[in-house]
Amino acid sequence: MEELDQVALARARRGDEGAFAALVRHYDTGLRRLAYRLLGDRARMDDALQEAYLSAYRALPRFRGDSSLGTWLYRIAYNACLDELKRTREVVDLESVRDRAQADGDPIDALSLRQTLAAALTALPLEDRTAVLLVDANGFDYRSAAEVLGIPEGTVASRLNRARAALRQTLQNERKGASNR
Amino acid sequence: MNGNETIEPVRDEWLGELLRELDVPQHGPRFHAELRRAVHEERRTTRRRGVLRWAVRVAAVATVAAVAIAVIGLPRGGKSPSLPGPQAASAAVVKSRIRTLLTTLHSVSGTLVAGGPRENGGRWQFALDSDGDLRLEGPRPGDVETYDASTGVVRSAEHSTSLGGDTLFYAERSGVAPGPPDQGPPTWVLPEQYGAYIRAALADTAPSVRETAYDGRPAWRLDVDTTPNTIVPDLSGDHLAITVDRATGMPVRIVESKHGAMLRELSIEHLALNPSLPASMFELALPAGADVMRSDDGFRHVPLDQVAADVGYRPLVPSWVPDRYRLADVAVARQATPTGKGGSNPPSRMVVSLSYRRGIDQFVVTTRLRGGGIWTDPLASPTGYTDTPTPITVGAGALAATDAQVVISAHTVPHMWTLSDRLVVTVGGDLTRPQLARIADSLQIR
Repeated sequence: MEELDQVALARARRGDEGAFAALVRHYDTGLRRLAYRLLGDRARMDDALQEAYLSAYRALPRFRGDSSLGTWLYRIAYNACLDELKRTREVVDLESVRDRAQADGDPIDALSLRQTLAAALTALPLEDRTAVLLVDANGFDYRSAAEVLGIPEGTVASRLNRARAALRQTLQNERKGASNR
Repeated sequence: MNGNETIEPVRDEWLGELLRELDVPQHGPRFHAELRRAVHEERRTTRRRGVLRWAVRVAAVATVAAVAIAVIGLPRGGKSPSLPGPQAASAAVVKSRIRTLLTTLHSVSGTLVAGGPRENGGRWQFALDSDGDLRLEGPRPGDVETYDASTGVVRSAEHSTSLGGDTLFYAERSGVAPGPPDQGPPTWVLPEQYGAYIRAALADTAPSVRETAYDGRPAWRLDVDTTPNTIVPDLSGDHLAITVDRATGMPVRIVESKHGAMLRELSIEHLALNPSLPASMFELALPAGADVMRSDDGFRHVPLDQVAADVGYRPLVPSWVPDRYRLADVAVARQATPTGKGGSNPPSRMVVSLSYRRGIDQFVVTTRLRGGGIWTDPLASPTGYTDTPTPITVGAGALAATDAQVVISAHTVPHMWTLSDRLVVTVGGDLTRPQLARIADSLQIR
């Protein structure tokens, strides 16, 4: 994961709004990916990330670089997502995710695979889903992912193993099904 | 990890590519505008709190002290562990000492020192008086912030990283509110924290303390557990150890830790009580021709009799205040920054702010037009903390039979707030729970 340059970070820590906007732009795609796949809804994603970004802005002057900025920011966003889940106490509806994927109008082959992957991802336990999104989709190493999740590296590896196995199995089944059709 | 499991290669690139191809929606159309607004508001708020980052550090020192003591007194809060040894001091003695100190001080000075893995060893010299005047210096030579209560202006000079490491950044902030929920002068942080929380919390319950020594002087040590902020738990601790100087009753050292490991240590050195502080100490002359960032919070200091003409309604004034409090300042603002958690309340319009002082203690009574929109507690604790308000019904006065809420929280000033048909009313500051209720009962239309 590419880090924000130190000049921009220093300015953001000083409260520079423009520099903070650059920080948001730098990390936003990955954070949206994580938040959306954890919360399953754009409005809830926006709520969680509003909370996360504002919390980060407030806390930036106290950021000492014990971890990378990205790790720190993802940790805040992850916690904001957990808070959002607790607050709304909703369970992400698998069918709604599937429906949204269908509505996106992708080409049919890719659509099928993405639908399947999205559904399989949603079906994973929250912890396993977060681990695979952080490491495989967003490029974290085990150590950074462990910092984000507040768990040992070995536990990250365990969760990744489970998540990857489940996703691969689902995708293989989808491919077999496609070749038989 | 289970022994049968193996750690796979660091990244599954194939799976990662597929995951990255999944739909990731853009933000809603108002997301960035709302975030810009919230950040801008936070920036303004931060500047109003003291403009400079080291002013926030002052708040941090005081906050930790306040949190420690407030949590002791909160029935819902952290427990007060029973400490071993025969040296248990009477909480009443501590309480009495702190009360005596805080209500009789005319001036205070000292050096705040920040240490620990979360801090960088900064030092800030501070001086304040009972009028609310303040001077802060540090952490770098040349960094200065002053608040002159007679003019209501905050001026500052600090080294700005964004303008270059050796460049001094000048700022002047006028129209400052007397105090919360509107952002008052940075002096508020010290009396608020050292005074308000200590008194309010200790009035509720009696904590257990033990005798110790600090810097060669007799002291009390209080240990309390607390709840970390849920949004940024890494930056907040689960335990506080606070040392109170026995001779003065002043908290002089606070150690915040998490899972037994220190996060930060904040202490006061060279503490001086009632030192002679010349008026010139609270003035900062900005260099002629300097590029100064100027802002105006919108508050104007007026005689009480003029308030109704300025805001279009007659103010609510307490007919009872605790012993030796005096009305020190009256200010009005046609428009002020939204209050509440993250500035989530409707815009503040036609605000009246009455400041009462006693030594370095202060409390503030405010009213503002209710208008439309949904109001939440204007003095709510910051994001990541949850308040537990006590509902009361105002028993007498202009707000008789109105439902109100009293909040004694570790993370905000002790306060009462309520909504009348037309106004949003707050009473907040160095007050105990019974005092808050009694002042609410005494509010009269003036």
